[in-house]
Amino acid sequence: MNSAIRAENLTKRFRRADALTGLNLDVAEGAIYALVGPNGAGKTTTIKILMNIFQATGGAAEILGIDSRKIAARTLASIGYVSENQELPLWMTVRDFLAYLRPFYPTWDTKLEDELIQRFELPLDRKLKDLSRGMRMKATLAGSLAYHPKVIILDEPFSGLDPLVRDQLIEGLLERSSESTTLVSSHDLAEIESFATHVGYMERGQLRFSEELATLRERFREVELKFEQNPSVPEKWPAAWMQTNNSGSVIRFIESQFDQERTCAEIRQLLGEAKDVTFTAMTLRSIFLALAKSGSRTLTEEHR
Amino acid sequence: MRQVLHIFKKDVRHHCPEILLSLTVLAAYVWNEPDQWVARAVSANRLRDFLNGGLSIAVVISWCILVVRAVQGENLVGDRQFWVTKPYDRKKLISAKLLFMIAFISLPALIAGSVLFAEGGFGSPLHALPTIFLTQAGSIAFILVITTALATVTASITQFLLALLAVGVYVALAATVAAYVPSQSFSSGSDSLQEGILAIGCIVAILLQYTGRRTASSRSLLAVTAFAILVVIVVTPYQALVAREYVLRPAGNQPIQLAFDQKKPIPPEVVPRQEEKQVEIQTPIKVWAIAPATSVSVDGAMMSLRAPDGQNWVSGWIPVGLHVFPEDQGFNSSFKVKKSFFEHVKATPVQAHISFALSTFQNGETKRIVATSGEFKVPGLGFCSIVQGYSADSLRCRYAFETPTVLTTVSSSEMPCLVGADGSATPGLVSRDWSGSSASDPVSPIGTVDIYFWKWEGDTDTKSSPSICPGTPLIFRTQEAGPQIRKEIEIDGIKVGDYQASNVVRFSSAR
Repeated sequence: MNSAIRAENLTKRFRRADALTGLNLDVAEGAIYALVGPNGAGKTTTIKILMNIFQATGGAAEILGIDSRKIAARTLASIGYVSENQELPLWMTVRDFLAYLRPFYPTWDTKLEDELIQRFELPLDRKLKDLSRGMRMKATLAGSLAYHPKVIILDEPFSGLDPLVRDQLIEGLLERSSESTTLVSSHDLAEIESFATHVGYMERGQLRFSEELATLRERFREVELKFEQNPSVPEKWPAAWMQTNNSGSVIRFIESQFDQERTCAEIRQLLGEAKDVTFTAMTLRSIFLALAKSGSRTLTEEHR
Repeated sequence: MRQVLHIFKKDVRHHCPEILLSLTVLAAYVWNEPDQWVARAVSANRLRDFLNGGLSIAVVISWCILVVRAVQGENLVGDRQFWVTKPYDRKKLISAKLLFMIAFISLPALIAGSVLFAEGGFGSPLHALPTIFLTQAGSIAFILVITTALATVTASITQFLLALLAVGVYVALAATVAAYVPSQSFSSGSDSLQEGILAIGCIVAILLQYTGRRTASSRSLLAVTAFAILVVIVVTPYQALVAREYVLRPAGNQPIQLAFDQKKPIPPEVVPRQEEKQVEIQTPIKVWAIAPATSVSVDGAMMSLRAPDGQNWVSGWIPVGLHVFPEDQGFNSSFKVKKSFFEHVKATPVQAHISFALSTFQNGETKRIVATSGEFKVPGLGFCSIVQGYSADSLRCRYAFETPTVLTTVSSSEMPCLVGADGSATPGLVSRDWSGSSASDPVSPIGTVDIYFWKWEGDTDTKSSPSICPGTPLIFRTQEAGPQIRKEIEIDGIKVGDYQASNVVRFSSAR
């Protein structure tokens, strides 16, 4: 599948601080890619380089095959961008705001604009400065979806929003997801879990891993083993077992390469026959916590 | 063009209050400006006096606000602006801002200038539109380019004001530095270069911001521009430029002869003042051989003194602005000598060298106009009226764009009104003033020039100044510029202490 967004060995230095230290990113066309990571991981910096708001110190980035340094009006007409801390023309009413954006986009769809206004219940005659944070985000998103962008980039769009507004935004986004590629950054895993197709985890200016969300969920399991007697524990656990915890006759760990048949065989080989084996599916949050606790190994390579 | 108009319309809507404010201030200026053309010895209206000083400044301030608000409407500083992620064509954005400035600054200024031109009595402004535009263009472009450059590298009006404060500090610093550079006050040889550096620096910074939003680079560029101008002020070879502008002529081909007047002056009244760092000396200069129907302007002078022990002092070129005529026999050339050097050599004969930068003029067209009460027309100059002042009478003349260099003369033999306190003056004396000016206001193409008649020349008995009244014949003689020359005078064995100027000021009422 073709890439809609790519970054190769991207670096960014702000005076003495390294914000990105060799980031590689590949977002396939049609994907809803969640770029997650703690605050300060470099998510916003990555997005701003992709959008040609920042200049990278090194490496290369592109959107829709265009070098990000050359992204100008024509490419921006195919990109929808929403950020939590964008400085908007607050003096405009929602109606003015949408009317002002309309002529910039040859593909602006007034029917879709009306639909979005209805869906987001936008108060057209209120000024942006008088809107709540959630309503402002909805107005911005409406203004970024109404022209059928090929790429939608959302920088922490849901932070600080109440669940209802968040769900409305996500629904609006999902309705358009079939016609575009979406890159959404967030530090809250729970909010992207419901709709992302791919996930990339950033930490300290690097992408620690990048994977399809379904595959990620499939390969992570919490495993609990109960034995009749205390089993003899091997000196070294398998590399794919994380956070192994041995409390007598009960052993718990997280399997990061789960395949029921292969995992069971491996357990039998290492520990013998268990009285009871439980495999529990994990939330994305639990997977990331496990990864963080296990020393943030670059699982992309491991997985490959 | 559609996008340009779209952004322009948005700016008009957004900045409507600022536009209205600017147009109101401009209208007030146009309403008030003709008051300044009226000759008045005593102010009639305090509000008008206040407005006269403040309105032209207010117009410029309102323009600055308009420019800053328009430019910062699409802020170029920072990384959170919504517009940078929208398909703005940068060329169209800058064109929209330019259109905004033309529509709400240049065009209203042109209309205001035309109204004032017509109001000034110079006829229909339609035929003069290109000249009105060109007269305004320089000043307006200067204001807009600097304001736009600062607005593009600042994120808010507060930041802009801080930047403006920094510019003010820089100008004060540059003026202080310039004051210490010899000959700088006389020569304007590097002014064009400084203006060029400023214009290029600002325009490149604006383009850098609009094409790539490289704020750090643009700010650095503006700082480098300011530094480069300072360097130019310091390193310009002013003396060489003056020497090139005012050439030495062979001895036989001189439009004027100058020499040091050996006769000692009367010892002046000097009060020792510790705080004075300089001592003024006045060197008497003899003048002869000025051809009839010509005159000479002493534009500048430079003195160097060399003491027997080898110490020396050079004044650098200083502006003089004195005019000498065929009947004149001499003038005093003043220099301010460093006090320590003066004290060191004041009683010792030293070697002095004085250079004069001179502009020669030939009498051109002469017009004899009899003054009337109220306004009277002076062809080629404009409209003049008499101002009867406390210490001297004068003419206030209103002109469009610029005036030729004119020598205006009154003769004591033709005065219809009382000449002095005793009602008389020696017949055959003249009083005259030299004038030449050009309008430099960013809006008004109309300028005023005051022509003063301070004293009867050559009359040592009559202390009074000429009285100008309706019926006084005035001679307006245009002066056609001739060659600019340099004269050098060597003086051996001058004791500068003998030529110290009085530092006592006495006020007296002569009328």
